[in-house]
Amino acid sequence: MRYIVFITMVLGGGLLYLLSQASGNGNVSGADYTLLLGLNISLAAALLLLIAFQLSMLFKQMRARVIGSRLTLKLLGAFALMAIIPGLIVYAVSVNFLTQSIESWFNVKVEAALEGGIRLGQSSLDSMLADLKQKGDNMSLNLAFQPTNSQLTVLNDLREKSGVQDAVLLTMQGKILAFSSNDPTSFLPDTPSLSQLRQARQKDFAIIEPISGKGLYLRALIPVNMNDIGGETRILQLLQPVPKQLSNTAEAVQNVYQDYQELSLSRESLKQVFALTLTLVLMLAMLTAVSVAFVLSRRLSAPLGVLAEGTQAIASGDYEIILPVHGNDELGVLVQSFNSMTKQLGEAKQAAESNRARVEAARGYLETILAHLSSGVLALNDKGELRTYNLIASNILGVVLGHFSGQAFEKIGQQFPNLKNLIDMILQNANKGKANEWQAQMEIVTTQGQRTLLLRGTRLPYSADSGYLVVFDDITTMVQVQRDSAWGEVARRLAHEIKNPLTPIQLSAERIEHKLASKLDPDDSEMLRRATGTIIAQVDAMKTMVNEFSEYARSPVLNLSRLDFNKLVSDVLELYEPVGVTLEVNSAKQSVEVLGDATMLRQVLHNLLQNAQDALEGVNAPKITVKTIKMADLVQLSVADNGNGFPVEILSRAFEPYMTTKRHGTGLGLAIVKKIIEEHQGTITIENIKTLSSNETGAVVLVSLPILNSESKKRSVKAKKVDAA
Amino acid sequence: MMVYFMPYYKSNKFSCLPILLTLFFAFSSFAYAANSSIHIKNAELISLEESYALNADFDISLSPVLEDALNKGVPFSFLVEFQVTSPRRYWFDDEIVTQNQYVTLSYHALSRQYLVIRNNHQQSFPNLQQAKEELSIIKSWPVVDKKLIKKGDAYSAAIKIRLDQTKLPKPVQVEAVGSDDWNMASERYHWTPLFVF
Repeated sequence: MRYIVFITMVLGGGLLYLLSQASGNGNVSGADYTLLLGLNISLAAALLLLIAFQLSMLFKQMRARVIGSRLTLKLLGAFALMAIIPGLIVYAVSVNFLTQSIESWFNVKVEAALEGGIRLGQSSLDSMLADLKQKGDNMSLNLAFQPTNSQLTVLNDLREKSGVQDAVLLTMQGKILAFSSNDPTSFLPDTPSLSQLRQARQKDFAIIEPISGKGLYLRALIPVNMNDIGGETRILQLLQPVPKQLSNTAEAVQNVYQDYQELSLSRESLKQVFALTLTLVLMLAMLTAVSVAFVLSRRLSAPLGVLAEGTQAIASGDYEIILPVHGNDELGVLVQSFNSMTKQLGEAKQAAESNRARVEAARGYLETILAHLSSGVLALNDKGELRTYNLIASNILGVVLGHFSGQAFEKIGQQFPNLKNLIDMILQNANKGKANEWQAQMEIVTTQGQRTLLLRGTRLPYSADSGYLVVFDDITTMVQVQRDSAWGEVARRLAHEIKNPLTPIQLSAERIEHKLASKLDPDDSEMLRRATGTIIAQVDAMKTMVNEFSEYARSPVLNLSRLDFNKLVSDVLELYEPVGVTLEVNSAKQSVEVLGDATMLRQVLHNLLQNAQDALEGVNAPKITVKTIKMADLVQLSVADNGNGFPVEILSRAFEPYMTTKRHGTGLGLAIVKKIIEEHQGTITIENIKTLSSNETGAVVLVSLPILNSESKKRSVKAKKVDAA
Repeated sequence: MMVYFMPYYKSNKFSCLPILLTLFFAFSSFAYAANSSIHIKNAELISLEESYALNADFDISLSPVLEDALNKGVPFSFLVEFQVTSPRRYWFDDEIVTQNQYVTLSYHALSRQYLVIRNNHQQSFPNLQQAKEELSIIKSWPVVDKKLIKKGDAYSAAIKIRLDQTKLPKPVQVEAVGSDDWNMASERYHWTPLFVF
């Protein structure tokens, strides 16, 4: 576009120069002028088209809301106005001035003076002509009486006398008879034309004649009526040049008059031509100015458009944008500052982003810690609303705390009456204000039963995040363990203390019987025997009970070693030969190695078998079935009887101490079994057998123990081979 | 074009917009009733000793505008163009000879004479009629060398006479542009000359 405008400017300049040359007094012809005019007009038309195209482009851009197009239009308007207004004023003034000045060339006085000059010349020439004619008449009179032969001399004399330059005597047909001249250079006279001769035949005739190359001449033709016999008429021609000074002046006047007339003839045309040239000049200049204004305003608005685009990009969150810098003027500086601002914004945003990420990570970390704490955490804000909690807190309280997040903490108490005490206590402490820390233990009833909680509360330091923090632990199990161990300790000591006097009591009773039985009469001795028997039996029972007691309370010290579980089972069963009970053994063929305390495991087996035997009292065809099954990574031992099974109410609490169906027994057997199995990382379950088809009943105890891992197993296999060898 | 354009312009000297607009549509000429004309009545080639000469006869009439201009001292130059061609069938005609002659008609105000200048030879006439008579006759203008003419070939001769506007005085040229008054030209007169060998 810029180049088009530039080319147009150069072209227009050239054409205008030619046109102004043509309008002036150059040698360019009218046709060329017309051609130039046409070229200029077509150039103007082309410029108009160019401007129309530029405008349409601009409007299209405006409609498409291209940034900067409105500014371009404004700048364009301003530039165009600046070009057009002075242009129009200059145009108006110069057209007016031109017409006025052309008009001022023509003026009645000048014309009259010129015409007067011409007339003056004409009249002075006329008078000279009349004088010449007069001279001619006189000469013709003189000549008329001269004989033909003396005519030349007479003519010469007469001419000399009258001071005429040339005198010629001609026949009627124009034939030269005599010629006299004071011009030595002229050999032949200038003869009159035929028509002139014809005219002269009738009457004397005078004429002013411009002769080419010689200037103005006065020519007089006078008929000479010869008085000799022939009586033939001759014609005398007198030729006299107009005096140089006069002719020059007259010619000059005539030339000026001619020029004046020519000018006045083309007066309107001249005005038209000049006005047209001016109009074209103005038009081309203005159109060029407007199209240049287009280019300029685009150039000016381009950086602003770029800036606006950049601003939009930033508004939409793109901080990567870097604008191209034009030049080093204020706009360029503005663009540079914009770029640096964008960069800073981008950096600030990145910093904020990374900060946010860091804070988030910290929060996530905190949340992870909270989630993996074994303690429940509750945080209240200053208004007493639940702010933060962890999953454990929800689990311990048995309440989905998420539903109460951001709500008043009392609401939980209102909705769950079982927690009301806890909530009240927390709030009470939280509202106390000054007391910074407190600690309490309290019992609550949840869906998991009664739980013991240890609560610790503390006020958070005064800040935006101030509030109240409660941390609580479910110490039910711990309390239980403490209680158990305390109970175990008591039991152990008590058993020891009780066991000590039992042996002397038994020995004393036996001794009393031994010593006194023979000395008493049979009745008394019988009574003594019964009494000592009872003492001994009861002491025995007591011994058993105390032993079991101490067994249960024993500190869990295991003497672990590798052993073959199957072998252990069969060893125990060999020793065990119950009376009246069928024992069915169905153990796995291959050896199964476990890590365990052989004594303890023997006791387990012994207890289980004893229990089964006890359960079969008074049962028809009593039968005990012992099975070992090797599973993937554990071995299962099942001891089943066909007794009456456990009563349902006992079944769920069978492993608790002092839970028994037997008339004598401490109720510690299964509790001890469970303890031992758990110390071996095994599991124990108890089930009642109830087959509807055969109407069989009974109970089965399933014990699972982990098998030793494969590496140790291989080693044991090797050891076995060595043994075999 | 300008003749059409300018009267409009004169009445609205300072409102140029309509003028500018008119300018682009005013490419058509405005025609005055013109009575300036040149008509070629007759033309022939006559055989001289070494060449053929042209004799021609025109009818020249000047419109009042032109007559007025003449009487104000504007010299009129008429250009007589003569051409002999040999027609060719599939190509442009072969140009054998082209001759031009200027005849100037002017008015001498001081002597009140009409001057006709032909080939640097000046003749003066007291009135326009006589001058026009002299102007409208071409006599024995040797135009074709006999050597150029070959026997048996076909030839065509043409003559045209027109007022040469480029020889007009500068201001008058401006006036003459686009004016029918000043656009004085005869039609092209064609004939087939009979060459005698």
